[in-house]
Amino acid sequence: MRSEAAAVRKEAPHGGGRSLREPDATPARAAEEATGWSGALLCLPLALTLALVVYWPLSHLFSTLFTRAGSEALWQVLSAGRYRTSLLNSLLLSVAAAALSLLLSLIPAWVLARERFRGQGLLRGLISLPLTFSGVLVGFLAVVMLGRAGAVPSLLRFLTGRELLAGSAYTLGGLFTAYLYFEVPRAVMTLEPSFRRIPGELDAAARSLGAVPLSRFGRVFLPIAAPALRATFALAFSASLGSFGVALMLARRFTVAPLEVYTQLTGFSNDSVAGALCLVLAASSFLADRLLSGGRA
Amino acid sequence: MAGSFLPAPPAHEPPAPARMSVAAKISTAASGRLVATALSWCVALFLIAPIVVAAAGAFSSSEFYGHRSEGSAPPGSLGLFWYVFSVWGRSLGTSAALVAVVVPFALLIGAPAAYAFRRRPFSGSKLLEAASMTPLSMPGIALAVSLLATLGGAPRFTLLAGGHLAYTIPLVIRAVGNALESFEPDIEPAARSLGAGPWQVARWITIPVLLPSLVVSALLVFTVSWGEFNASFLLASPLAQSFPAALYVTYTANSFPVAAAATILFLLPVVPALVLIQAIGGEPFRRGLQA
Amino acid sequence: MNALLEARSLRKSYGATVAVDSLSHSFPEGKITAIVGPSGSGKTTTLWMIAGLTEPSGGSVRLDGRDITALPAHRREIGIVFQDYALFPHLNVRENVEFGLRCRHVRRAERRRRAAETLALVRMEHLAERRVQQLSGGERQRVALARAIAFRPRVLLLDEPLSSLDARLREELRGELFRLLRELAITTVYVTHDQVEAMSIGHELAVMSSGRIEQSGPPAEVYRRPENLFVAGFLGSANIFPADCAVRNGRLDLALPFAAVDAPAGASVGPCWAMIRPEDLEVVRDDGADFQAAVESSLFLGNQLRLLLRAGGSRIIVDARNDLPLTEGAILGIGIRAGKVVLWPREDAGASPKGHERDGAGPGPSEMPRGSGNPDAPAPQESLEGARSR
Repeated sequence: MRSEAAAVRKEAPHGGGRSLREPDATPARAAEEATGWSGALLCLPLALTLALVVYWPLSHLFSTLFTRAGSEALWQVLSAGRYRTSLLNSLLLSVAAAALSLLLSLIPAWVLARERFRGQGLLRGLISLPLTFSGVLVGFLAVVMLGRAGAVPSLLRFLTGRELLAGSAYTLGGLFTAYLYFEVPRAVMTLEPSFRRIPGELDAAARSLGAVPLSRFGRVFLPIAAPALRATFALAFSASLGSFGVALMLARRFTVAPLEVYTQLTGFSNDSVAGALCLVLAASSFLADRLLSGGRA
Repeated sequence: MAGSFLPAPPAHEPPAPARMSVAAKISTAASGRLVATALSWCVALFLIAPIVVAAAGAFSSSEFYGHRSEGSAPPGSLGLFWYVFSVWGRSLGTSAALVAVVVPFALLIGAPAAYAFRRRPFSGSKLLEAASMTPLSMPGIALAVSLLATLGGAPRFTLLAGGHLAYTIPLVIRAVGNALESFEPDIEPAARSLGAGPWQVARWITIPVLLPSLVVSALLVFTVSWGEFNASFLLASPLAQSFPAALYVTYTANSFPVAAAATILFLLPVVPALVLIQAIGGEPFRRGLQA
Repeated sequence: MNALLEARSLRKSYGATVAVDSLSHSFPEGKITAIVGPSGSGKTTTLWMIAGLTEPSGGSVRLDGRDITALPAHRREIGIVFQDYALFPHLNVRENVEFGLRCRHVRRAERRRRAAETLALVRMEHLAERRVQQLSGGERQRVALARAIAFRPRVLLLDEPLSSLDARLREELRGELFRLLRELAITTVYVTHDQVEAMSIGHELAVMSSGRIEQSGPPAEVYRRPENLFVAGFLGSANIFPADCAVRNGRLDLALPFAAVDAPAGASVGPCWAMIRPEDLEVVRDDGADFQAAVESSLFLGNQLRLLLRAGGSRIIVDARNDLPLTEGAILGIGIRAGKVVLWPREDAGASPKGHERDGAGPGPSEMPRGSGNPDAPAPQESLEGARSR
């Protein structure tokens, strides 16, 4: 019954530093601040930089869609074999990788957020280290582990005497694993603060109302964590969709969109196709973000 | 209980339900937590193992790691690192210069904006804040391609810096914004009531309190800018090539030890930065890295 | 060092919402004025306007005859203790207290001396080097106070200084705080939502509601002679009934729903609201009683017994001595102490006093004592809203 979760959710106190403040003070102050213009001044450099570096270039790229070359390129990208395949590969791989990394990150994020034990800092450090790796490094690591002379096939050869997984880095599966590699840390680091913010009393309240663990998970935890889970999915999806370095290293026998952009741009000087591909990718990321992230936890 | 007219109770009486479920609950909860923690360590292992294996490659001459090309120094020797440095030193310099430019600018642009968003909102500030966050969820190449298409005439280094700024400013805004949310907003009015003019409030109160988050932001920007590849590779030119781009070259060359040595060189500044970030403020880091 | 503080027609609105509505008040020099009112009544906003932390939408603030409305906060020489204390987290106790002096470029040695003096005043000198995070609630409150007075402000404002503390601590610190404030003899404005605090601390009491001051004056005066339903219901408990004043047999008679008594002096003919406080109703022997009432229930409050009675369809609260022998359903004789009924004119002449069950249009007495021990008691003005005689 949804009422269970709803009732329990209503009891959750406000998160953050101040809970039950006198309502008199806070709205007054918030409203007060909204009338000053000193804030706008402080934001001027930001606005200028964003306009110059992000929005003008993007809108310029977007406007090429309306030129003949641009719209032709877009049509090509969406219908012709090679480009369409690369887009589909990217999208499907990214969706699958995002889903799996979300699943994989649930438990570590929960453990880091709710448990206290020795070595927790170390665990967190280990998990967050790959966050700083660029895609090409991740690709490199994939080759190290799963390439033709990779560590895993070598180990398997040593153990079983058979050739297993050699060169698997260059397959779709290899790319998929590489995506997982840099998505899981992001997912864990994004989920952890959200899990941390879920008040512990909710679970106790649910237990006192008679819910068994599975029901508590499904009816209390999931609905509350849902916004964070969705946002994390969108994040992971965008990350792998746009990741270029990994594709550069690993996508030898097939193509994904970012790679296609690169080849078209540098190899064939096909600016319009490259631009169209980029726009489709950007649009997909943007859509995923908007659709899923309404209401970050 | 009634007297002897009732039949004797069965020989094996089941344990009282209440007592059993409590014990069972406790043990499953504890073992559940143990399993969860173990699984988390497994994930960490999955993430760390490749790095360890790769790093070891720089120091091992085993065939396990494939061939090495002619002309490179023997593995495990300092000469290997020197070799990497001599060939790709310029890109190291470029990356260092990039970081030296991007970090201060990202802070100077992002921190006041974060302050404005949280303490001096104005109509449209919410929109601006959302607009500054979108580069994080955009594919890097899209940004790079659009930069190239519109501002292609500008010096590459500048374009690179611009691209990096697009990614790092949101991190600063997020980290500083979170720090601002975590301390009482009343301390600034309090300072004013005690006689502090606007500059004094900033100098004595706002900035000192925000200092940890500013440092963490700087470290964050540093690690992101140092490791950024997507845009950097596309925007690279022979004169302006960032170190990650150089890394790529080593990866596609035929020498694993060289590649491994280059990777270690790459990681060298990053790991201390990460450690510092954790030490100074785990929470701002985690929140700042939410992208 | 003391100053006459005056607020003239202070107004603050946010768009369509009016937080403070043309508030005027003179705060006597060197005295403590308590402003009390429910949450959202505009107390904090008023305080912030006086301190210069919020710009008024209209009106002015005058200090010592000078208009300081345009003066920025950091030049006003007004100290303020915030509700959550707002101690600087990166400074220790001593540095917090010294801050005001530092802003005034007092030299270090002198600064230390004065800070130590002030800390001694609040009995915190032994914790001077402590970091703020390590302090308990009561300690923080004292540091906040020390910080606000260290630079010898001309006016001291306190925004619910005790409300973040738990009830026990509040009781303990209240006496100390009050004693200190009286010793300091600075013109003080003490804002609170706790009416017991407000009545006991101030030389003067102002009751605020919805952005305006409903009534002000010495606490005893405001308590005994509330000018309207809101003030009556907000301070302490009040039994409020629709009543009627009429001439009967040549005398002015007050017809309550359950009794008829002599009208108080100066009453005018016509429908009215009558207020009698629970402590002004006594359990008496039947022959001396003004009316009979049946006991519905009782609450043992320790020092007294609060009886919930019913008579003539009305609910009546009576405070009796704590050892009154009682059986549920018993009929008691109740006497109204002379001169303790307060009347206000009533517009709605439709409600007849006899057998008039509270139908929502009239107010009902709140049962729980509105002391500091019970902040959860519903504010009576919620039910009084429709019946405010303004």
